[in-house]
Amino acid sequence: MRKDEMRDGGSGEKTYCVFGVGEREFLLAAEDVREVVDIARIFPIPGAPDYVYGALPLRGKIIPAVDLSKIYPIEKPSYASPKLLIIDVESENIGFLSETSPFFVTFDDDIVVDDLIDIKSFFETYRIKTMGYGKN
Amino acid sequence: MGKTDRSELLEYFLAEAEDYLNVLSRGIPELEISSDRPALLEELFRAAHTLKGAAAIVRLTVTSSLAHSMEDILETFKDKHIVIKKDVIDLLLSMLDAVAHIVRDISEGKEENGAFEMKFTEQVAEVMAQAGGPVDAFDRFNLMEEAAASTLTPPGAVNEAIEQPVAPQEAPEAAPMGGAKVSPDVPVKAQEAVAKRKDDVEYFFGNFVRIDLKKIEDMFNLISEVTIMKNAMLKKTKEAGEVSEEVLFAGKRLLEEVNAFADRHAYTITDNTKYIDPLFSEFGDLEFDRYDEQNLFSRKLQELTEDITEALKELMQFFGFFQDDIKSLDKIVKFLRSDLSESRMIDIGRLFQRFVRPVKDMAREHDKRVDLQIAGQSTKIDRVIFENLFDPLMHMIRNCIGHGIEKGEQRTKSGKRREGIISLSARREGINITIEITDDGAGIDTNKVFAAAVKQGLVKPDATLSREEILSLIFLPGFSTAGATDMISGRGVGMNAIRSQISNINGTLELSTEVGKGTTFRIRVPSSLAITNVIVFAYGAMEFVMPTSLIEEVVQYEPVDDKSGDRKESLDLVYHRGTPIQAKRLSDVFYIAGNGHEGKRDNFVLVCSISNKRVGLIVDDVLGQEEAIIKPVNRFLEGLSIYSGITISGDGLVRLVLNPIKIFEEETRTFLVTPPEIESFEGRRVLIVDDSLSVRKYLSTFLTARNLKVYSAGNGNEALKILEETEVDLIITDLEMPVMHGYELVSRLKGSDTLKAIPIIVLTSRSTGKHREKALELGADDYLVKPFDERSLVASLKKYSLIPG
Repeated sequence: MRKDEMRDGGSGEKTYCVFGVGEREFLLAAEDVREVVDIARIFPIPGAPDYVYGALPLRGKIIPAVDLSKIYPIEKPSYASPKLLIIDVESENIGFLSETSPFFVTFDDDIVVDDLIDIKSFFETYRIKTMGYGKN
Repeated sequence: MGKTDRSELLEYFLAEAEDYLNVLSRGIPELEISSDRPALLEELFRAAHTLKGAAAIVRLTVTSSLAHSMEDILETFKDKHIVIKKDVIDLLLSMLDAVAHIVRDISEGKEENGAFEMKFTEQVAEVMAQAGGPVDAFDRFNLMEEAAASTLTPPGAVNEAIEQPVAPQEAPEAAPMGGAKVSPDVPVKAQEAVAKRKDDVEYFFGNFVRIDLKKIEDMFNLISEVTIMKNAMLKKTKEAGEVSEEVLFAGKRLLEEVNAFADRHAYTITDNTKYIDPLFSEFGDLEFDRYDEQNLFSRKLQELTEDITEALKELMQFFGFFQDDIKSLDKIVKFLRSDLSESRMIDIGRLFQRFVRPVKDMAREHDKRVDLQIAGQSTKIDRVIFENLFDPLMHMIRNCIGHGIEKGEQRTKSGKRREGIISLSARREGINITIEITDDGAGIDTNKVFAAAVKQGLVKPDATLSREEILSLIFLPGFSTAGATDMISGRGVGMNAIRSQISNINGTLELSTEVGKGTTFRIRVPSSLAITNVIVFAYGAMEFVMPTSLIEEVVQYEPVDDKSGDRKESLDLVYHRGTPIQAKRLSDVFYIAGNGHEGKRDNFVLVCSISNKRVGLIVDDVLGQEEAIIKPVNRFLEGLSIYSGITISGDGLVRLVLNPIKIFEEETRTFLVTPPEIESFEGRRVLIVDDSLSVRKYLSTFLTARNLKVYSAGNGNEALKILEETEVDLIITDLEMPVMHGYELVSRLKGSDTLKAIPIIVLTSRSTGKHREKALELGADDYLVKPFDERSLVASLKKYSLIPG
């Protein structure tokens, strides 16, 4: 699924990518989502906070995979066949683990969307700044 | 300057000149119409100025002189804000053409044509006089006459140039200007020239194009992807080859069996044989071979098996050729990588030259005389390293001048030359570059360093430290020489920061010093950051790498029985060449302990020399040495300073690049103490016992994807052999297998004191209660039926703590 395929919505509308972790659903602005990949294997990063589930290589780049269940109060997800949403942010890529296959919805601009992740603010807040827990 | 040096420099000059000539060519005609003339004049002035300087460096005196004249004219108009007439523009364009002509000659291996030099003297003087420019411009031309006379221009070339003014047809690429000539006697209508120039003039010399560094980085990324893909293909081909061999072996066995069967039944006629062809009824059994269906079938089977074996042989041959092709591809990719890597390399001399002026200025500020001696300028170094070395070198040179080199009187008293010497040298040592900054100053007194460290509470007063250990204190975070500058020549200030900057480019910093004689700082950096030679090592189930430039030696783990209690809790003592050195386990760095590390042994120590001090990193296994493309850590993770990068192995494993300097010197122990959950399951081992290759492969893929390490056996007997040498956390076994079936295996395992604790999952196609009960009765822990439901297997894996529950 590619970004240019996802984006629709005429003027006055905005498209979001919806993905699920545990019992909860999160939304991301569709333009932030570069692609969705199946996870073949994920590699732990010792020393990283627990919300960094690991990292995986994707076309020569290493993408950190974020487990939102460690940040938000969510019942422990099973991640039986997890997907990873690859996000473009601050000239970097990070990934969000999803238990479900993400889908896209379009709303009018004036609708306030709950559980929307502002990716820039997320990146800045949870970016690991020193050794130790990332939210510092 | 040798001939080779000059020709190399000329290539750089040609690339540079091309840019400036094009700037001038586009800009000069614009002077008439530009709305922002001051900015344009400034741009043109800069281009002429830089062209002049560049030409002078490569001893192109005529070019330099012409560029200088253009610079003078442009500067005059820039400063005086007066109208630029068409004749001035024409003159500038003519001069530009002359320069372009000369530069083209140079690019074709000819010498400078001195005939151009005096062509514009009068016109320039006239323009300058009208505009009120500097008078010396005219004088300079007179002075240049002498220089022109001494150039090595062949006499014929001079005449040729004089007789044949530069015209577009003579230098079509250099100056396709539609009639603009250098001779002032044949003026060209400016408008024509302007119109033509705007569209047509583009200079191109030499073989250079400028490429954005990011483009090269992108190409590197693509090459690294090709390398990974290639390695993955190589691995898969190898695996496929192994499977083929297995099948070939099975095919041979089948052929033997079939042959034996065919031999037994080739002509056997049993009593109840029904003749296939009644035509043969008159022949007796021994008179004519008769074939019943069994005979025919066995023959057919024989033929088919032979066909299959033949096809498999061809397949094996194909894999052989395919592997050869991939190896050739491997070589090509390596060449490509190496060429691309070289394109990022720069002569370190360009970096060293940047210090010439500051050294003079700083020496003057400190009222000292310093001679900066530079060596090894042509040593090539990665551009990224080049850029990252400037600050640390500047800091060290500043310290050398400020605190290392003594004042003149003091030096004279000590019997030294009044003028201090700072030498800056670079040399290539294998894959590394060693840079030394040496001064012949006062040196560093270790007694005073020790005293300062004691005063700051960094060491106990009664600590016994070697000279090397004392010097390493200078690099400690928090070590300060404030108030003690004169004692240790101020070297401690900022040394930690400098070392940190160098460690960011996988470099090391050491110093050697002698009181009264001077100090040498030795920086060792890899020549390229893009491709780095690394040692691959394992700790638990994880693989890490460290650049070989940072590792002094790899030794066997030999702990020191230390009862003194002096050592730090986080550090072990191990022997290195008979001497105890401090060492650290990775588990102490980021808490891997208890997470897949049980049963593993500390086998090796990676000995690193960090700022004059040897330390060791204790690891389980050293897996080898290889060239790796190190990528920077994702910005989301950049705070994890113990990693200086990330690499991807040939088979797609993510390997973190450890930075030993951060591991050993950031003793603040702020590392994460709660192990991420995923780690606790990393590296659990599963033994699959099944006679079916497909089942083994399928299960292996399924389990490997869940970060489990998998061992495989074709029957119970093979499984027991594996278990003699390897500890596993779970066994998944089939029931029906040759040599030793599953029931016997379960029975033997549960009867063994050492193996009975290992959980056993029986995975069989037998679904009856009878089979199940027998397996569970013998001690199997779980019973799954093929084709198995992945969720059931996942549930069992969770039940036995093989994956997170």
